[in-house]
Amino acid sequence: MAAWVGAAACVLVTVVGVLVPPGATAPVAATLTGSDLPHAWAAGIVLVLALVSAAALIELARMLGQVREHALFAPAATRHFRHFAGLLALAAALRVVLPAFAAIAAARQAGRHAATLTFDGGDLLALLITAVFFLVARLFDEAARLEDDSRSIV
Amino acid sequence: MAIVVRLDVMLALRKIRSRDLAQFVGITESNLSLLKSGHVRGVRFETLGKICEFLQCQPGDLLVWVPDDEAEKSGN
Repeated sequence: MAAWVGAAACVLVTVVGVLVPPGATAPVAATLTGSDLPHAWAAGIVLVLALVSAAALIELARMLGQVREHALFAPAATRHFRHFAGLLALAAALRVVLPAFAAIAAARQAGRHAATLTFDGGDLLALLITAVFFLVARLFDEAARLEDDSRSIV
Repeated sequence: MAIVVRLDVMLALRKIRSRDLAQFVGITESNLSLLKSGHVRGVRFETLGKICEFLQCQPGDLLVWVPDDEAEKSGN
């Protein structure tokens, strides 16, 4: 349930941040900061990232929905977890790549021969965390095998 | 499979019902049925010990190794 709410909130907050004009006053506000990028480009990038992140959270919710008392490591659950890790890795990679490509394209469009690319250590950390999730998915496979063994030994 | 389970033979010899054995060992009748038909991947020593205790027999009376070609001929 929390994952479904998180996915919806992720998309909702992003859409609010994209639609609300900069500088608008509201009790609750989401602000889109796109450094030197045009607002439309920055909006496009954050929407893609929000959709991929929401898809990852939905896969997590579906995985948690598959967990049963007598089958903690069902193949379907492991498959959803692997999809979750893959989508999270995709989101982390897009977070690094998309702004960089957009900055280069914006510089070319403006006739400049140089573009400033900024990379955050947090992005690298996110990629490392997704790698750990893939390792966890592999452990799930092994756990499923052991669970199957345990069930077929009387 | 090379290991053949002779539990049904021992049950018949001792004139004991599967239900009573399953109850004594502490496993379900369906699991005992799977064990009798050899459709399990293994047997715990604890289970084997309980079966031997109830049937007053040795593990060798319950499990027999049969060469693969002979098992195929006999339909196992």
